Amino acid sequence: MLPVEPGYKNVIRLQIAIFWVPIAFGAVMVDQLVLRDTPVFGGLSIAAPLIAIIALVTVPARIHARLGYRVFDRLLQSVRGFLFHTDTLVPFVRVQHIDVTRGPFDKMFGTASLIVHTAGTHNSIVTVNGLAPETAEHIRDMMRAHIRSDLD
Amino acid sequence: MSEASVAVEETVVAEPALERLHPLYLLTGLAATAKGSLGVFAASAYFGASGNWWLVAAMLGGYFGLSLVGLWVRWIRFGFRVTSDGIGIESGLLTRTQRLIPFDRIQDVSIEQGPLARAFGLARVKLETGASAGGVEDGVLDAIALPRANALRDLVRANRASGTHDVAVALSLKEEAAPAVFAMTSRRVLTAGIFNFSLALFAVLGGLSQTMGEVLGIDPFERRFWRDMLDAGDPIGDFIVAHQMMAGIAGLTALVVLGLVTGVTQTVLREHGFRLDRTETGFRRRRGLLTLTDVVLPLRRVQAAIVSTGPLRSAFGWRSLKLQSLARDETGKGDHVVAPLATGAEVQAVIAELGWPPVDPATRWLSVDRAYIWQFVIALLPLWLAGAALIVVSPAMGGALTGALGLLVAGRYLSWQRYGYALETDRLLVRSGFWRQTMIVLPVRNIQSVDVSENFVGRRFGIASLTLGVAGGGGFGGHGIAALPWPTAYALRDELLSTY
Repeated sequence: MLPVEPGYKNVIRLQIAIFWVPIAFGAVMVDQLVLRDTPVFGGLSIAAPLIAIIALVTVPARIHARLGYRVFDRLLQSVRGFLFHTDTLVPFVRVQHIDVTRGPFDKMFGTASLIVHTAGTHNSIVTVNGLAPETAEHIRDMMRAHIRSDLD
Repeated sequence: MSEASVAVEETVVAEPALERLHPLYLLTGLAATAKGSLGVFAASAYFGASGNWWLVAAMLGGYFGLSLVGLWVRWIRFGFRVTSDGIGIESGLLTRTQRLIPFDRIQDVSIEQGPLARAFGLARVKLETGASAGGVEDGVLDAIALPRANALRDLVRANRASGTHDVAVALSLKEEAAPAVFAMTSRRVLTAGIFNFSLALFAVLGGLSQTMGEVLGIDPFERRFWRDMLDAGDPIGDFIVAHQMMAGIAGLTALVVLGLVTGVTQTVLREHGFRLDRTETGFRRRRGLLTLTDVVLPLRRVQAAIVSTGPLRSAFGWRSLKLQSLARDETGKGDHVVAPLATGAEVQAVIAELGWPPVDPATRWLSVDRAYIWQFVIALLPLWLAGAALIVVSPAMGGALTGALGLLVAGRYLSWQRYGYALETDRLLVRSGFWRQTMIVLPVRNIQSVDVSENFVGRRFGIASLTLGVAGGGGFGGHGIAALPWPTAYALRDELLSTY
């Protein structure tokens, strides 16, 4: 199993930040404005930012460690998740079309996502996040060559 | 290059004229629009009841007037033409759309006739291409004369099959002469209706009559209900009124009859005159009492076959067969029903027409791990706790909840007993369920991707589940096998994809 780029940890971190920072901010606001006269005042102001910080520090490395991919001769494997662990295999000839996408975070940290579309209703989109752009493009070209030779 | 462009110009010159929908579209279209505007009629009924007749007249007049104008505009701006390589559709008032649907891309042609359309000899032709992801057909020709609709269908089929038009004629002749692959007599449709007994309706009405019946005065479990219903002096009526228990039995019977009538009506409306034929390239299914549908299902689009039954139906030897296809069925459910109620032999016959080997009744089914049950028990944990807490407060309620949970677990046990899979040379069979028994026949080449997934509960039992991506179908759940021991899951995946 090949690990994805280390830079992808930062992408995950930013994604978590986008989710958690507003929540933590909101919780602090609620605490300061609404709960001022109650006995629990102060609890949220400490707990919410603390949880956010812990999540930002520890979670990206854990998620990253569970991500992996492998390219076989005619198959692509994508592995992700711990609590809900999923291991997907897609034969190249089953691929309908392929995207290589780079969001703003990906551009900041030098990663890209390979998105493979199959005809399946379940799992019609299989993604490998956090690849180096060259790797993603290389895999795409490999698949493309394979699909073309299958059509001939 | 120059020759090619000349040829193109020639076809443009020879392009057939634009065809219009039948003018009676104004009427059939109006009926369809009216179906969607119940609110208007409800409102006018309300005003009518309160005596504002001029308001009712204005509302209905305005509504029908506007609808007619809208339909007329659509009719006048809508046209289609059959070209050498596809069907072109032009539509729109302000935004003109010209769409070409190449013959090659048409997956399904279905012909549908509502009651009104049948009276006028019209039909709606639906052309479905693979791209209809949103469930919206790409080409609908709303009201065209039935012979023209049939001709169009044959034209599409012939163009797709071999590019010549003669095949279509030969094909439809042959088709009429050959016996149906599967057909249902009226008696069979009735039987199907009885098995279609609406359990949901039964439960809802039973619940309603218990809770609301007092207020509405329609509790069939009460003597008063029957006293009002039946004339005094009627011996049966007197008997029911005289005994509270009899009132209960009569109430139950009334609900059962209602559930039966609902099931039979639904089924007869949908399945009347069911007939499945083999055509050159696939199946053709005709059915319906008021709304006739005529669907062509190309064989190469079939991804999997699903045989389903229930405990009661299987006791009588009945099964139903659905085919999962790339194109959706008109009900939007994804799977095409090709045999709503059939014997095992009839199902095998349809499967044989697919060109697939029959399913061996002596198949050696491999069972899944017992953790299939335990996982379920653990998932119900919050409810178990709630049941235990309730027993303290109200023994009856808590007991009922715990009992219901026990029944669920018993059901899970029975479905575990039935759960099994078998990997044959080039296909996978999976059977599952107790209340809704299904067996899936999935050719291995139709598997698009394979997932092995495990969660934090299953990991304790060392099990993982296999999910297979298969094209088509409308369900959220892909096909798969739950609760396989970890090494088995990976080994099976490798085997399924061993050709790659």
